[in-house]
Amino acid sequence: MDQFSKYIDPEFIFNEAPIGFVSFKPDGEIIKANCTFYSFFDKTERELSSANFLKLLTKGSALYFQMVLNPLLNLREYTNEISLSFSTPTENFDALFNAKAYKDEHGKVIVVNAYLLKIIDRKKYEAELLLAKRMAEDSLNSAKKIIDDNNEQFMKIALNQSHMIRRPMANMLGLISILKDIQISEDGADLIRLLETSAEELDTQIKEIVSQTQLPL
Amino acid sequence: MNTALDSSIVLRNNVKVFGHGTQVLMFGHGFGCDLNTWRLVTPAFEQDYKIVLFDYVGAGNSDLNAYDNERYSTLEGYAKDVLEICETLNLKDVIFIGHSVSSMIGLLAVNMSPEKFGKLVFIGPSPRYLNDVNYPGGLERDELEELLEIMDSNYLGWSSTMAGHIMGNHDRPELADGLASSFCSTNPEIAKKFARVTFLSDNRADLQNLKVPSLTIQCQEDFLTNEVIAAYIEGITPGNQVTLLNSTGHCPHLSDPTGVINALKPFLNKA
Repeated sequence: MDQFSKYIDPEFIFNEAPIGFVSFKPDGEIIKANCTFYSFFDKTERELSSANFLKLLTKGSALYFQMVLNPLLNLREYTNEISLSFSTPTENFDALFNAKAYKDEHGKVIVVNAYLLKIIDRKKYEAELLLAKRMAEDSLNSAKKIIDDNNEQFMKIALNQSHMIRRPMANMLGLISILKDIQISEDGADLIRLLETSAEELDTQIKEIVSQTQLPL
Repeated sequence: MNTALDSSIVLRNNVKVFGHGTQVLMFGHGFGCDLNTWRLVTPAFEQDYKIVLFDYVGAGNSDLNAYDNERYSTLEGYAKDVLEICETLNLKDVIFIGHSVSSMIGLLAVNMSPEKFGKLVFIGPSPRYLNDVNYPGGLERDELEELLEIMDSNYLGWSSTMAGHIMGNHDRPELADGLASSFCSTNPEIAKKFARVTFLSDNRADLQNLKVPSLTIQCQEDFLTNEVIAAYIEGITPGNQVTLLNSTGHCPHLSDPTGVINALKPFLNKA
């Protein structure tokens, strides 16, 4: 049994646990942390004894902490699996932040106990997923732009074509009306009436196309 | 009044009205939270004031379907919501108390319709978060981008919290309490847009046009703003005064409600 006693000692477990543990005051002042936490920052307990938890975060994470996590810890008293970035003198790292807040008798938070789980692989997957999401959004935007461009092109063509077709059409209608004033045979007059009806139908169709593409005549 | 309009705005912004007074105190929450953020402050005023709380669209229990990309692409859109709430409830001589970005939303609302408001309170305000020439806003553009990335990477966390709420976790009593589980829940897509609108806003010129008395309450060690910004606001805003608190952080109404209440009372009582 003696060979195990060292490893199940609470102090040993606390310090050697494969997660960083830290207790801090609401203003960020660190009260206690385990060895794993200090090792994340390549520091000893003495070197980090006066550190402020909030100042170990990158600026973006510190902002997120102040704006989103602080209210949550005050109101809900816990927060789970929040991804935060920490800065060290050599490199930044990401960790999942789980915490529980404890309040005094007046309901004021006096201490936050948190543990940090370093995430390296998950962060890579997440970066891939976010990249894929952005690429999908970009593709969607590109597709929308192509559709918009095509629509605009179609509108221009429709505008040009409608004007090009309507001009000779208007000429034909004018000529038909002149033809009607000329004395011709009954058969000729019937043919002119048929010609006029067809021309008017065609003119109506062109107007309809113009109207549907919402182009000014 | 149009009843349909009234109910739609009350639902849109999850408006809550309570208290025993006639003088209106309207509280606007900051970025990343909802109306629950005021729960430690409002009890001190319930006896003497009419309290109006609400959620901005996208936050808390507001109507997410009411989110309009164009309307909410500027803080003016949110200010219009504040005015519509005032009109719907027929509020007059309102004292608007805004935290963080709500300070500037309140400022815009007052400038749009000064006749509706009596006083304005800023808690942890900043008229511009980004640094500018001769203006220490405190935030660089790349830091804003990093914040947006952090919000992105916590998208799943938000979803799982909401999923827990929706599924009614019986093994997690804290989630069974609908109120607790919805604390500060903001749709992540809307939150990102709101963050961009908030942090890219510049309301320095609007401060100079304020026509009602205003109070700035500012904490120590606030990552988002500071005493220098508070002094800047005091310098360019007609009728502004500053109260500095000894407490730290960006949310004194949560971390130091007594300090906030004590700072508010003399200002509210001042003729």
